[in-house]
Amino acid sequence: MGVTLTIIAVLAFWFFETLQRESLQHTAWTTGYSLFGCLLFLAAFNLRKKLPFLSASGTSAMWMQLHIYVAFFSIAVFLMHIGLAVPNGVFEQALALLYVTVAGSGVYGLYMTRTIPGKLTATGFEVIFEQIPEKRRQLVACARNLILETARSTDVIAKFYLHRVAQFMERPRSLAYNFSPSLRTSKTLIEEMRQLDRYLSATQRESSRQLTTLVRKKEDLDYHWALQGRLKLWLFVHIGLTYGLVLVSVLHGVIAHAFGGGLR
Amino acid sequence: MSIKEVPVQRPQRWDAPFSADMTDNDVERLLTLAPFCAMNAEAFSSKLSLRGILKYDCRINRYKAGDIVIRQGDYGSSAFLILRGDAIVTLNPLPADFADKPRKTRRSLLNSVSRLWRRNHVAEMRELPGEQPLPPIARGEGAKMRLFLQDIPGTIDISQTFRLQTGQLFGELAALTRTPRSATVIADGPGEMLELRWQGLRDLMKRDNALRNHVDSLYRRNSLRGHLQQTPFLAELDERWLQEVANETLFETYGDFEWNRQFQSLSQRDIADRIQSEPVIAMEGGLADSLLLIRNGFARLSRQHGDGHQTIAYLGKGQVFGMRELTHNWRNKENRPWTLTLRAVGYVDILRIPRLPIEQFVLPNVPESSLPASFAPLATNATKHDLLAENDRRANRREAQLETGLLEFLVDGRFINGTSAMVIDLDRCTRCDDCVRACAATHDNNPRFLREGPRYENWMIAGACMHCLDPVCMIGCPTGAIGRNESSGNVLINDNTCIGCGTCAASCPYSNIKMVDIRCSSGKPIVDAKRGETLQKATKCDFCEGLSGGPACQRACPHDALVRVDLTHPLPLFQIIQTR
Amino acid sequence: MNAPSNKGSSFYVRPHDDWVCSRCDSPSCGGCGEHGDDAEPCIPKPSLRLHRGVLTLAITALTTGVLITLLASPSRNNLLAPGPLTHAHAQILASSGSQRCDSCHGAGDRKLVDWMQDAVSSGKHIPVSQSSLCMDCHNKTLLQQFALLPHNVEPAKLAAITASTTETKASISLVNPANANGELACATCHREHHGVEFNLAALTDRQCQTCHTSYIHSFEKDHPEFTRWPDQRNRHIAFDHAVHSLKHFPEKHTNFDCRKCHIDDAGGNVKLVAPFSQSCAECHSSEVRGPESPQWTLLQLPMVDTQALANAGKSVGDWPASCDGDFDGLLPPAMKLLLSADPTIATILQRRGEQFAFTDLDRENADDLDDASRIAWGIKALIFDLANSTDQTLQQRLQLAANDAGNDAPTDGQNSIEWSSLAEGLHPDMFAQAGQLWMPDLAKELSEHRMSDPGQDDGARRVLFGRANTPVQQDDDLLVENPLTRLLSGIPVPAFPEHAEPNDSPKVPVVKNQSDPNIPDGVVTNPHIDPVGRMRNANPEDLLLENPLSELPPLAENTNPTDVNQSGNIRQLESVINQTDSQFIDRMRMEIRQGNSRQSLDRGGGWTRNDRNFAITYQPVQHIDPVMKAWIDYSMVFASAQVVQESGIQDSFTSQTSAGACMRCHTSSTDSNDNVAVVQWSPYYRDPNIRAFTRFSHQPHDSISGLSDCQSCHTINNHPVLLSSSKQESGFGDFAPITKGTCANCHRPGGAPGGCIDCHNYHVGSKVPGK
Repeated sequence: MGVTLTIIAVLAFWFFETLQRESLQHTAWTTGYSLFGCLLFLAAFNLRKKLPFLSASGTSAMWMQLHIYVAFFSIAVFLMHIGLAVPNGVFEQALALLYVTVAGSGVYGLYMTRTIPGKLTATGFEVIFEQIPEKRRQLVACARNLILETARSTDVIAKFYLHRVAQFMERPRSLAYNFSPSLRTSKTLIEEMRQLDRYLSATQRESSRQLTTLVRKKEDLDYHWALQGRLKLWLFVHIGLTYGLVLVSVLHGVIAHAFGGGLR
Repeated sequence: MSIKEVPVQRPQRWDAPFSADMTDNDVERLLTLAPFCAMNAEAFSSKLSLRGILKYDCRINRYKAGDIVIRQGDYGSSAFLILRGDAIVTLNPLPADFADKPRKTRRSLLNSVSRLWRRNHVAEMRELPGEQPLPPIARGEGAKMRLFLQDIPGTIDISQTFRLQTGQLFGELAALTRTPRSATVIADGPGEMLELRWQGLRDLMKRDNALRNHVDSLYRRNSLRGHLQQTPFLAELDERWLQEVANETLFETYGDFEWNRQFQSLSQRDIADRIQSEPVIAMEGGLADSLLLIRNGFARLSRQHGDGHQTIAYLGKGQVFGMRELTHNWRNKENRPWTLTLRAVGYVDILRIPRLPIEQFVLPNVPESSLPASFAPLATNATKHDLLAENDRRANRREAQLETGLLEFLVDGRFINGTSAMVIDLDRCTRCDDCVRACAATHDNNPRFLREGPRYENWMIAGACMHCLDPVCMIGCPTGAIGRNESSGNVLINDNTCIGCGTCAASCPYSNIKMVDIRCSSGKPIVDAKRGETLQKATKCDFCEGLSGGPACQRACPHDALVRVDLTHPLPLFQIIQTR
Repeated sequence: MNAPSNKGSSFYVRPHDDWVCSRCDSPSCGGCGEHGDDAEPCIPKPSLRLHRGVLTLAITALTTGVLITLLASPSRNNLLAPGPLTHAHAQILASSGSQRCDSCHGAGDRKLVDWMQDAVSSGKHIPVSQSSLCMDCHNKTLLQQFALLPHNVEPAKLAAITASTTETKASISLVNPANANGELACATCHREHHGVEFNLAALTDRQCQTCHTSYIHSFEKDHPEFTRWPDQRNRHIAFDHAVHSLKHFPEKHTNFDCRKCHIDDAGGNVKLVAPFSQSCAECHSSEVRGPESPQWTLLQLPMVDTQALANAGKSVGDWPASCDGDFDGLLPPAMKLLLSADPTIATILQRRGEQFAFTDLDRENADDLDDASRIAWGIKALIFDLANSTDQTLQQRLQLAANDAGNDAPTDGQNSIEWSSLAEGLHPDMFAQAGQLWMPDLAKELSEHRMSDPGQDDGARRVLFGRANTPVQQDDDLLVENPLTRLLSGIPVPAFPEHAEPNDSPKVPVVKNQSDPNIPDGVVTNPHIDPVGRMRNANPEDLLLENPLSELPPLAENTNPTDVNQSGNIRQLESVINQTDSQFIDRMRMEIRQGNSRQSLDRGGGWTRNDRNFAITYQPVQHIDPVMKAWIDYSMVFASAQVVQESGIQDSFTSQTSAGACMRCHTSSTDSNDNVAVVQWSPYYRDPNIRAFTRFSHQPHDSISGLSDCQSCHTINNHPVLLSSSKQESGFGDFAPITKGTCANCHRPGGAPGGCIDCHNYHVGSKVPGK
């Protein structure tokens, strides 16, 4: 629905723009101002989020949809504005780069918000991002207690913990993992633990099981940390650059007005 | 962190009386009137004396002719005793202009925007008592505004009404069962009424059997017929048949009025024996000897599946069980047993109408069309499975198909109690916390819910007040600080009258009420002068009362993941699931 | 999973708090009692959102800083420039460095504040319009006042042109880029900063049709048919390609090669007509000049019956015996004109009408006799005056003749006449001698006749005597002045017997006669070609005083062989071809004139006194003969004057047997600004400096093999009338019209370009200022 509307809007705008270009108008004004309008509207979404109690401002979901559609529309307008060619002025290249980065991060973010929640849900485990560090700490504490317990009877688990698990439990995960989280490490660990069973008494196995569960929990935490972190990080780029973009485009507009050719 | 403490006097129940202008003379006068004159003051404890109750939990209202005392559909937490004058009771809804709710206080735009920079960084900041006088205990009710009818016969059909005289008690049902008012009461001529808030009434009933019986009989006389008239099949029944039915009706109560007590412990146990432990109202295969109306609470509709029971649906207030069996048996002179099991989920009020009056008065007089269809004729070699399959189909027909798992999740978690539970679709939720932020922004920078809670597959019931149909949190609130807003029906806590006793928080089965330490504007915690422990207040979601456009959380969710759903019927949730 | 899991978070997470517990990332630890007992204390740390906020703030601040420094930096303009200029502009502005912006932009060297004010005041703040800045440099090739108007054509004219063209199919009406005054900014079409190689002049057809609403999809389909090609107005030389290609060339067994006569100019895009000497001379030189070409008569004595006149008391004094007899003979048109200067005679001629001839006169009729005598005296006066001062007399009389007829000739017409050339190469002596031989006492007779006949009006007297108000007693001066008086005072002048034998006459003319057999016996050719005879029988001192012949130019430098001249001509011609066009025509003329004047010496021609029929005649000595040109121009300029018409002088040029046959090839046309007919002496030449709406360049077409043959486009149509003598009237229809189809053969979609601006100019007018 909204998609078709957007497409129609883009086509209509493109037709209008062509009409103008063919009639020797400077379409840069049309596209430029539309683009700037879109920009302001898109930036306004952030403001709306700051005023949730404003009943007049409509639901955030509606804003989100508009944000997406207008964003894609603006991308089309942007392409028309630069005439499908890399601008060849330094200043304009910078401006274009800014826009592309913001828009790109937005598209990426959209993809994230559509795909990641499913993955998170699939883990069957929920945690609030801010609490993950604390949860980790608790896990480590539990694990250590557990190891101390076992240490009384056997050193197998303790040794194993020190050599293999500690790394996994007590250190933050690698950057690579945060980019593409995978169960590999934890799986292998758990497998190796199962291997240990033959050296363990029934009770020790029990605590080994517990350690396994701890490892699984840690895995879950790390997984959530990676993905939820991603969901938050892309906004750093997206929002971080927005105001800079607005500033630069304002100057761009002023210059365009001052230097625009034509009669006065 | 060395935060100096600010000592104040710990609030007590009756710190804030129901009405400031109740004098001892009034109390004396009341003590001379029935039923109080008959009561034995010794039966009351010194802490909750009869006088005390009358003084602090009652007030005397004066009405002019046509004043509307209570309105059908309103939530009221007080009962009325007519001291002087008459009143008219009508079950028919009032004309639109009287039915509409009193206006809520709206926040001005500027006020809203100003919150941006007036964001309060002190958690749970409160004005120190004394800095500002406490308003009288009145959840909107203290406002002197009253609707009234110009000429009663012109507005309502007198024939459909009945009359209340001096000394009669009314409104107690809604007060006690935390249900909306079932009827409208209009003062007929100038009169005087004693209004008891339900805490008071509750205490009185505890101590005085006469009153309890009186209340019961009152229910049978007044509310029962009203209730019957609102249930399907009986609605269009003729007056005198209805009366007959009413006379035959029996009251039954299953489960524990304060079911929430051991709910927590129950929830740990396995689903199978949890179902087993639920008190049975009607057992599958048992003799279908009567029609069951659910007056209050919830009942699980399940059926034998293999060795255990499978939840098919749940019945809420006002729904009927067994009509189909009765009809079938009446039609083709058979004797089919119950095809399903009805169990009490927590606490259930049942009205049992025996088979005889039904066949006598109801079935003949109800249009055939509105009656349920008969069962398929039982084939001679019919196995149990056919029956089961048939039941299955019927069950499906009866309820929108929420899959059993989700259904049981809702029932076992008692979420079916929630009229506006916060349901989050985790497949959409990006965990961005915008909902929490919005909530905080609307509540002086204090969030009022937790974005976590029990979940079934991708559906999470977040830790926000569900504004239950059966708000057990209200039970035992000493000051009545917690209660329903008359117009919106939301369960609200009056922060000014909350004494931070934590009863409600303890009794909320979903632990959606949080006790918070309050601080003064300087950020220092406020402590009790005597005991020196920090004062707390009970806090919970107030469904953004007074904020037009619905709760901020829902409106703040960018991905439509968070919705506030009425779970008392499966349909709304089902519809939402369908749109996903 | 079903169990409510609210362990670990019995407090609310306060998202708006900037500082959170370093342990549980929850609001500063009043809320979380989770780890109070734990060993390590809990230090508040910034929340994720605070980080984000700080980052955002930082980036924004950074951007602002960068922008400010950018605006402040000396290389501001370089950085802000939206892109490189086109090659031409870049080169010009290269010197001005980073200051170059303001040579095209009013805002160039302004401050940011000005820009902002300009932006909000929608261009009021910086009043300098860019287009005006463009015109600072481009004023050479564009007329300042029309520079911004569509096509640089003044609106009224443009409207007229538009009205003349039919616009049928209307397209979607688009936004008009012009402003209120109908002006177009240069930047409307010419958009800079699109790279060095960018074509500033590019214009799509659709863009043309912003204003030209008649919708043209492609040249071959929608372009209107050509109507005026080849344009007949461009036929300056009446050269019938059909006849020549089909008749004359085959007869001469030479093949008809277009490129022989049509040569490229330097640019190669305009075809020129090769000079006469290259093209036509081979066959037509004899008709144009020299003895074979017919004589043109300036003056001739009619047969006069002196006896009858004398009887009637209207004696005309001396009259050559051999023209004494019954009235007979025509008056040559030129002489008619010269006589018409005398109003009395003018009236007579007018009365007598065009066909007047002396034969018509009746010796019995008194009026006839009177007219005859007046004309006779007029002729005498004319000879006298001509002998007195030829050029002056001719000019005065011709002007008088035209003006007396009440026609005031347009000045520019007069300017086009080279009066001095009317008698080029004609020396007064020829008349002096004619006078001496034909009517010896001319001067005396005239003065007497003047006295005896006071009835002559002022005009006549004025004419009769060079200096109008000269009193009688001053005759002596006059007599001294006029060569004829010398005759009177008995100074010997070479006398030629009426029948001179070649052998006993030692005079060079005889030699000349031998060299030129065309001249009949007894005809003495122009004496001034041989000074030697003069020097012999005239004593130097008085000759030095008043012999007009002493003014004759020395002829030494003129005597070099013709062939050298010719080769020289070719070489010069080639060099001329290599250099461009504008003075080309003049150069060519001049060069040809030199060549011809030399030829005139070798090949004879020029002025002749014929003592047999008492006439002064002229034979053109060269192509574009100055004398003929002068007379023809005169006849054209004053064509409207009655006298000129009646004199029938034009016929003397246009007739089949006219001297030099100038008018057979050189067509006349009435030029646009005033309707005075002018002869197009020079072949049609399309000046590449003048931009018309349409342009065509032969050069690219020549390179195409298929078009190497000119006739593939310019097809000569062999129409039936081409052999008829009346090709003048047939309108030179010797070329089949070039139709749109001809071009559309190649210029169609997928073929050669068919865009509007491939053939049409937007900017119309002259490239060179003034033109």
